Amino acid sequence: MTHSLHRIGSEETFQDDYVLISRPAMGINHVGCSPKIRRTLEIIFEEGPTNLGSLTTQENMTMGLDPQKMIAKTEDNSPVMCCFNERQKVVNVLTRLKEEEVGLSVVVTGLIDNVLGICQEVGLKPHSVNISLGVHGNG
Amino acid sequence: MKINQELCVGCGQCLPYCPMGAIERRKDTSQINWDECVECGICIRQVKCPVNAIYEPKETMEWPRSVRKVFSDPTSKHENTGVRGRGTEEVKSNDVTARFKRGFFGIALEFGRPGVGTRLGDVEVITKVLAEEGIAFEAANPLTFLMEDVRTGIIKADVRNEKVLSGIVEFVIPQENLEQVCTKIYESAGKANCIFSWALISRFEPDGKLSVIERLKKIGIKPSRNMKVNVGLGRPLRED
Repeated sequence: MTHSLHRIGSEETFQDDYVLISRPAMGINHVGCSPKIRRTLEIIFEEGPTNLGSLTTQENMTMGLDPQKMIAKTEDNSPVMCCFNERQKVVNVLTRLKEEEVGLSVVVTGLIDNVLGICQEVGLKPHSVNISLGVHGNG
Repeated sequence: MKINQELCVGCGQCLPYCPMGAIERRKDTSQINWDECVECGICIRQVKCPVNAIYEPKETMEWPRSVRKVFSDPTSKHENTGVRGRGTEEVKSNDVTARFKRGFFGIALEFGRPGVGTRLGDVEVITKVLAEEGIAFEAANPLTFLMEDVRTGIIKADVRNEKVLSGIVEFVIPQENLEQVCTKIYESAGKANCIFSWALISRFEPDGKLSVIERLKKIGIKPSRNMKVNVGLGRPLRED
């Protein structure tokens, strides 16, 4: 239920820590997009994520998620959510998504210099960014 | 959620799964604190109860308790957004939606977290201040839907005491209002009865720079270097 943006830690702990999310835009390009989601999942599984979770099957890889069963249950609004601990794997996934012109939106969370470096290597022009301004209030 | 007291054998296996710590152990059984339960559904989805005692009663889906599930269960979809969870797609699909354009910033305040949650009325400490600043809250956001009047930021009376895992306030500001709005939020933060996380969405400038970082630092806000970047792969791509 928490999300990747507000994680706290030293920059060293984030060095090889990337969260990748891919999804369609509801109401714009989501109708009939499940083949694109399935292809994105296939590419990610081939590269080997550290973990991947599914809202549809209520499982993740540490719980024994079966990639083929998950891919088979993909719907037009299924988000793709996974993480990697190797920079090269993120490069490979983005390169393949770009070359195949899959067309779903992708966000990558990580240290900004690292993510921008990956975009440069892949030949992507970053579009927008979500920036954490911290955790406040009284709990 | 509830635990059928006739079936429960009091093994306590379900206790560690509740993110709100709302499952209490009684003499011979376990019981869910009805007021603290946020209806996230983790217990019923993840706990392998040996006697299947955990169940979702019909009251869970009755107004106003039904809002708990919408804001707390990541598998439920809100009818306004079609998105599972409490917010919208924010930056995730901005390359296609162009919801956040150059010259503007998106701001998201997420009240409550797993472990603490929030009463929906508690968000007013900030939403009333924002309303006084003339902020236009995101119409498609589930929390905006629960405001009595978006011009005041006041939450509807019948849902004020409903407890949820978290709720997100979203809005867009012209870039020239950055310092004024962020200072107001920063000054009001200490009055909030619950914790909230704060995020800002910006377009990259045509040369790839993010001048907003320096502007934030000048008013005493140090952004995290861990950022969520929309890498621009969505199609059709919308520049603005």
